[in-house]
Amino acid sequence: MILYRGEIRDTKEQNKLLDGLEEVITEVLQRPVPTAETVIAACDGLAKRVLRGEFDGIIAALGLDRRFTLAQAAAAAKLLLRDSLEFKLNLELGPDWAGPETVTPPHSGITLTKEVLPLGVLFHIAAGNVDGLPAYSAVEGLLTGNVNILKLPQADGGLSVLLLHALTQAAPELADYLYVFDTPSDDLPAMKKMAAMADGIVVWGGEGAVSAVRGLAPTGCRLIEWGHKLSFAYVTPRGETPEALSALAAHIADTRQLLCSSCQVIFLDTDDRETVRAFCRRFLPMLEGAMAAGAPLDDGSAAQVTLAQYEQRLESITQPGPEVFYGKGCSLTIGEDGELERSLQFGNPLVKALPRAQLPAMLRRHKGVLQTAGLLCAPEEREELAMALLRSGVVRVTGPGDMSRTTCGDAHDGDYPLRRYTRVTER
Amino acid sequence: MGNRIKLFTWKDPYDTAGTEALFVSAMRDNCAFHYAHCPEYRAILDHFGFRPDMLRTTADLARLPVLPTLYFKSHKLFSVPESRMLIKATSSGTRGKKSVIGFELGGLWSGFHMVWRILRYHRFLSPVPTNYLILGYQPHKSNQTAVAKTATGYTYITPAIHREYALKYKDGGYQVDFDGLIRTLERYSRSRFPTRFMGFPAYTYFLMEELERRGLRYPLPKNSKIFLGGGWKQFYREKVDKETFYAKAWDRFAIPEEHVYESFGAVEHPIYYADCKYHHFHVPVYSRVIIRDVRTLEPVPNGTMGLVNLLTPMLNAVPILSIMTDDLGVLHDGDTCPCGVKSPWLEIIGRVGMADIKTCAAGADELRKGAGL
Repeated sequence: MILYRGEIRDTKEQNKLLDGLEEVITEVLQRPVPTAETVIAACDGLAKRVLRGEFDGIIAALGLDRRFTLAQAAAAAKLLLRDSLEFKLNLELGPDWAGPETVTPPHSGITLTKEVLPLGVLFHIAAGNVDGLPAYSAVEGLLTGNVNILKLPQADGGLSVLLLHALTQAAPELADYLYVFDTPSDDLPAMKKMAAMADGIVVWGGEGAVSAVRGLAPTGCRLIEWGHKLSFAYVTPRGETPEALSALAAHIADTRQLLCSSCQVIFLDTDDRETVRAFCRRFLPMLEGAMAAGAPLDDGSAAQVTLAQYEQRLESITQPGPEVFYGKGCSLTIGEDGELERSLQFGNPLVKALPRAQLPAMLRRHKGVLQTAGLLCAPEEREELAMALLRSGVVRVTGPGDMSRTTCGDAHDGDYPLRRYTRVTER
Repeated sequence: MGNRIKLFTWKDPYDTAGTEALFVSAMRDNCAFHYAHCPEYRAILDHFGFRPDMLRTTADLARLPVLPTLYFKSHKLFSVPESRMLIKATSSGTRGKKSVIGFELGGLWSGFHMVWRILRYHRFLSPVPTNYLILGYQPHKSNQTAVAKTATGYTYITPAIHREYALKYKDGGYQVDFDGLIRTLERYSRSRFPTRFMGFPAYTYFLMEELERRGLRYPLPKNSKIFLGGGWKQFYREKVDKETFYAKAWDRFAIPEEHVYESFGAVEHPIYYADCKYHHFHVPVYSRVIIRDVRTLEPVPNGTMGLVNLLTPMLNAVPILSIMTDDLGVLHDGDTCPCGVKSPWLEIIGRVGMADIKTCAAGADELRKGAGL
């Protein structure tokens, strides 16, 4: 399904629609942009409809209720309510960002009009690991007045098109600012056409997606990369309480380690192998419990984990392999080095020894990918450890249970997105 | 005569029921050979407590330890010296790492019999001279992929008048010569002799789309055919568009659906799977398929989705006797296909790691109607 100027169109029309799109966009860009208020009012209305349960039927029809709970959907919808969006705009762009501002820079003898304007055309390449995220990315683009071309992830299943279609119905003046395509990522000619029209490319996703997009982007196009980040937990001997561990287990199970903010490695403040083994023996039953409480893994993901674990087992026949603690539907692998890396995901984190003194040097080696650190430590250790983590490049320090919490006005990977979707002009 | 050659020269290439015992015997011979000649393979079997002589009945096949295709990308497992490998094939290597599979004389000879019998069975062999358009790579010493070799190999099954390649080697790299293709099509459409297309489905589709965009049609002589091949992984997405594909083939080239043939194989399982007239891939006698549970790796009954495990005793050079791809598939009972072939058929559904492999365009359409759009 395609959403084009407020109309749902068939996927087959993609190339025809893309061929005429530059002309349409050029004309749209000459108009005054819709105000943030228009977008806020439409989103607020849509959020209220979601909260009233009007979309529950569609969510169930799409089978999405197997992937997230309605409570999670409600939490996501709240990010689109008026107060959330107003808070976000205010925090990220300041209270008086919209409209022209006259300034007289010192020692220049001239008076200028400065105005924050949209970047122009944003091409969003959304990731499939968070349902509804593609639509949210487009809303961020709309809030700042941009024309948005959105390429959906394969796993989207149509939810984003339906939500954004509902938005354009509530506010028809937004219709010309939204173009949603379900193009597969390997349709390079189409991807190139979309990229060629963009002033900024917003890419969510893993290393593969990001490097592929770098090849597509026209020279000078602003590349806005969200994602391909790794997160971890850091556990000190005094922070290892049953409550903290069970919150960490719940976090791992709930996010299935698929998010940038999901814990991949649990680092222990020790250099003793036996301490790491003892931790695994204590933590494994908690992780098992948390995994069992969640929805069962879908077949495709389960197959990926099974195959990877089998491969690991074969590798360990001819050369010494890692020590693995297998649980039901989950596992803990003791890593030989103290480095941050991606785990097998889906409830299979790595556990590694890393004394506190070695933390900054290790994090510096991974500075491009750091995101959230979940801290399990005593209250009096927290400030010092948190600052050490932040100074080493981590952008967010949380408790073990809320590594993946989302609030309105969150910075993405340490940046306010709305600032990157706008530009400062002078006249 | 050895069990392997007996199997590969079996008269009916789809008589899997009649070759059960022979297949197991050939697998046992093959397993014993690799066990004796490949120390790494032997270590794996020892680790699982498996011995070649434990292969006695069809049920034992599932107990033979499986090697994932990924394993061949990081390990070179050879059971004969490299000097005795007449051909080496490499996988296309989508993510950088490639498997290298060597063929020794006996394996090649078996493969030759297999290809000959499958081609004859499907009546692909013809004495009529034919024009070829290969939508793939022109062979060059820099390209050792199996795909490049098979596409050219296919052009020898009828007398070839001309071979035209879509991807030509020029100045150190491959380039698409689109205008050259159009000139060739013009010539082929005026010929008295049929044309055969060979190549990747995606390239063929792209060519037809480009012709559509330029408003060009080249009705080809009667008995022209389209052969689609390539890796397994191309399949899931294109399946959705198959009807469109057939419509375009008729529209642009006047080639009817029954003259569009698909085949596939993998470097790590070099068995020729050709589709029947219902476009189902029946298992030939040279191969067996075991679908395994996505969590326990235990075999599942026909009709159930799981990981695809492929078995063949074809090669002595490399222990590919039981491999596992990263595809998800279903093995269907032969009698669920009306074509008359009794062997079961394999359907590839997706790839491991796909979040929701059941979501497809059809699902989205139903939803759209449900939502009143």
